[in-house]
Amino acid sequence: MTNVLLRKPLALLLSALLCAPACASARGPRYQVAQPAQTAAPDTELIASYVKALPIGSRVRVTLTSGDRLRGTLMKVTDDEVVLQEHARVPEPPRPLAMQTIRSVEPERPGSTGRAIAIGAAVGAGAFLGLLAVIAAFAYD
Amino acid sequence: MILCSSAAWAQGNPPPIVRADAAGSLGWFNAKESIGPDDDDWYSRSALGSAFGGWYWTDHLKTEIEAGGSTRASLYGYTTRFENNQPEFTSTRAEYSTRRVAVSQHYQFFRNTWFHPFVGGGVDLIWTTSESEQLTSYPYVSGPGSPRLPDERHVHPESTDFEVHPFALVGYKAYFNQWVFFRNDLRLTLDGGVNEVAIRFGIGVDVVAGRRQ
Repeated sequence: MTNVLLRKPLALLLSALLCAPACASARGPRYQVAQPAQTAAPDTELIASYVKALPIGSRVRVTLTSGDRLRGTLMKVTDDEVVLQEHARVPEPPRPLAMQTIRSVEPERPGSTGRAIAIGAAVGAGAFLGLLAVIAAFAYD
Repeated sequence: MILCSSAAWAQGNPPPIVRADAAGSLGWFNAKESIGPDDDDWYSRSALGSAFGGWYWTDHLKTEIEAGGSTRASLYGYTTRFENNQPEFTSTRAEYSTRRVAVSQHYQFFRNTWFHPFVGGGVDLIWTTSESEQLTSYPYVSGPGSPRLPDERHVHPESTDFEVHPFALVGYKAYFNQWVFFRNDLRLTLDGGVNEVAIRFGIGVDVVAGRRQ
């Protein structure tokens, strides 16, 4: 009887813990729901002059007027466009971005060790709890 | 229906980064079964092994086919009834195992990242094999001088029932490298409420890479 009483709370606890990693934030570029357009249009010339001042090879985070946000490495800058090599799991071709579509460009600190550790910890916790769950399934009499 | 709707949705979208994936998992399986005429209970000493194959229609929509089975688990029940003012104690021991094929539709969050949470839902085709044994005992005599009724043993031989149920799942894929990932999910089968709960973890690989222009 005690075992039966313990099983359900244990199952619920493990379920909640295993779902928790799914709430972790993702690494790399992601697309977000378009935000409402701002009333003030981005100053294309100002953005262009700013991006030109950044060294080629800089890691940047670009926000587009559509609301999408991209992370990548700056490959080429002209008056009309920026070519960005996105940071992604599977390498993709460099992506040209028209200057008019860029709302903001922010330099990004190199490396994302914290996130990598967080994801690793989430995976490790998931694996550990999964293993614990299987052991628990066979430990009860 | 899932295939048709997914294919239609994929029309006009760029080809996905990953075309297909395959995975295997092992997990803790809990299921609710009837034990006795008016009694349901959960058995939880079972493992569920599964193999998956998925096809990406877009970077976010995937159709997955799954085949799996759970190990044999025991369930015990104990009921008391009164028949002609005489108590009857019935103890039941049943054993269950399942085999299943499932098709589901997943929505995968984010694109081309190292960590992809997903949610999904689909249909489970479940073959449940069961056998049970009931022992009914009559502890008291019906009257002075009358003998105590002998115990009755009923054995229900192994049989297999087929059922179809919807299920939902939530989980994530976390990549070790470009193609190999760890998979973890929580799977709930529904039958007028949650009828099965499985927590699974496994390893998979993206088997075909699509090319983007």
